[in-house]
Amino acid sequence: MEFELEEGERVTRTVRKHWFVLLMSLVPFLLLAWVPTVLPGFLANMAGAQLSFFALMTAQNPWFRLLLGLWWLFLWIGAFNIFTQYYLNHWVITTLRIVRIRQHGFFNREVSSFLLSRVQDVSTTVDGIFADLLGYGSIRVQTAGTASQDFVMEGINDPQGMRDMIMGEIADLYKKRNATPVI
Amino acid sequence: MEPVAPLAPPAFLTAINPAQAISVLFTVLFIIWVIYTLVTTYHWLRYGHNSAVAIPALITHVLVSIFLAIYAVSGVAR
Repeated sequence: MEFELEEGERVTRTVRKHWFVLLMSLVPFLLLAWVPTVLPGFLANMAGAQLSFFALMTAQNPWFRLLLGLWWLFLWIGAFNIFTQYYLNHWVITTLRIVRIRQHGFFNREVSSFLLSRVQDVSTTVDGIFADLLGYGSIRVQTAGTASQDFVMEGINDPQGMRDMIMGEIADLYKKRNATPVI
Repeated sequence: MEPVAPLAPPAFLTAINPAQAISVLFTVLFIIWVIYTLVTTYHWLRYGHNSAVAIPALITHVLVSIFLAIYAVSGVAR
């Protein structure tokens, strides 16, 4: 684990992007996989007898199958890479802080955390028909202090629920400390 | 006007054995795939937070890759 939990600290929730966002990222790969199965036939019909070369581009041709198989393998690796990035990018919300883990690429990882007591404002945005119907959107957490920062995560599931949960955790934190949050 | 000579491939191309070329190509691709798989596995196991998704995801990656590689060579590897 990239961070150690403090004494009495527990993980409340781990948040990733919505599955629909992942699906949308994979659509280009599906289209690129589908194109070689229909394009040769389409071009053969267009070109007619002038370019009979296209008629050879079928799954019965071993050389075409070789290229097609390698193309699909290449796309599969790309798609799996997208899934890996999707899974490893996440926020961990604990009873004390929010930890943001961002995987920019292999061997390029950014882990940042900020205390809930420093949270000044939490806002959410749900933009678009799919986002509204499926219930995903973005959340922005603004921290207080001289080095105030905005932490934004886009395309997460149930942003309003997450905002309420963060605010609830902050309220609990201040109750435990017997203090009132100044927001 | 001189007669047109038939188009002949360069000498170095005729010297290449297609079966050997494919073997070399697949060996190179296999090495790249193994490196990618090792790097991905490292990231999943190290940063996957002991998730139950990690092992099934890696198994799926390997199985689908093997299936696609077999499909690719199924016509030429006879």
